Amino acid sequence: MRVSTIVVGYQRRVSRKRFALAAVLLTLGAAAGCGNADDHAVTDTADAFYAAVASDDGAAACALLAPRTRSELEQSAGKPCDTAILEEDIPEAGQARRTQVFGKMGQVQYAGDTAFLAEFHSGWRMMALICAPTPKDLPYDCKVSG
Amino acid sequence: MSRVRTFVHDSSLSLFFGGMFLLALVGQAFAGMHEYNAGQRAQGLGEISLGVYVTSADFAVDVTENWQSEYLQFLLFMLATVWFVQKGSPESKQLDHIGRENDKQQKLGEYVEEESPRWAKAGGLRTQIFSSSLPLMMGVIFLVSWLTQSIAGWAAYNETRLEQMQDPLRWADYLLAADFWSRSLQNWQSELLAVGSMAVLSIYLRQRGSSESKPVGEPHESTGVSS
Repeated sequence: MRVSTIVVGYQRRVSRKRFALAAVLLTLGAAAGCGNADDHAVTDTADAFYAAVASDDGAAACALLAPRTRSELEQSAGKPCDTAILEEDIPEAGQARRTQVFGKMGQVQYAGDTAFLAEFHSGWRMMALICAPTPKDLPYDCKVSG
Repeated sequence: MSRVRTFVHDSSLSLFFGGMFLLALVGQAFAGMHEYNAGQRAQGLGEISLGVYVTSADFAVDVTENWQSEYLQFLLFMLATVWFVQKGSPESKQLDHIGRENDKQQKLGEYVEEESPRWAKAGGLRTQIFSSSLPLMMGVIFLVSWLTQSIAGWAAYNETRLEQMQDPLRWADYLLAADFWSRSLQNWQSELLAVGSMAVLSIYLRQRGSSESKPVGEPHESTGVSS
């Protein structure tokens, strides 16, 4: 089992949780360690997405979208993804402030946006972006989602 | 009889339940993986292998929420039967034996026997610890299982929250969340019902040959008698 809270500067990262059942009861404390490979993978994917949008590379940005998010975007815009994604008002994200990963889901908070990612066989993909927080613990209001 | 056959004969109850436990755990792993992947497919998310599933928070919380309640059940039953009795139940001790009982009844002090355990003969703190060692061990397993449930449940719950595009909770906040208490209480109520109904039903019903039952011909009023 890996449970970690890593503070790097003001970036607090909670690692992906994996539980080795055989060790759960006997080595709960000893097994708690630091493992942030997933955190880095999630942050890297989100960074690459925003970098692709910033450089007007629609194809590269679309390659990092989750399949359902991509098809939702194409359907709602009535255009191919690589064109539609660049027409969305995607803000400049800036540096990632906090990444949290639980199982196959991740969230990256930037100064300018909050993104939700999901893990597929092909790697981490953007599930929702341009997300604004809502009051009363309701789901984020995301302009692009699947 | 060979040593192996003797061991199997003398430990058949433990071996039976150990084997059944492993089979059920493997079955739960397969069923749980298929359930998890069905949910992933429905949401257009990635599926996982059996190896990934059995090391996931989902599997861990489903396993440990049941473990903690089982050990809590036996812990409570063990302690409650020191002070509470049920007339006619083989699960109860004699009605006039309420409490921790005296040294003669417990074969302690001057009443220890040659074959008594070393810590029962030792006296002092060691005998005090040994006198409660069974609920102590059950209590430790319960607490560790419950703690593990809280951590695994927290991770699994946060995965669901992220799927729903909500912020994850801190672990301390999860301890106050409905999900944690729903998982705990739904198991506790069923265990309490099962052990309570066993104590009552065994007054009037029998299973010939079982140590958990009174002899078939034993009167309903007989308390603390088992086959």
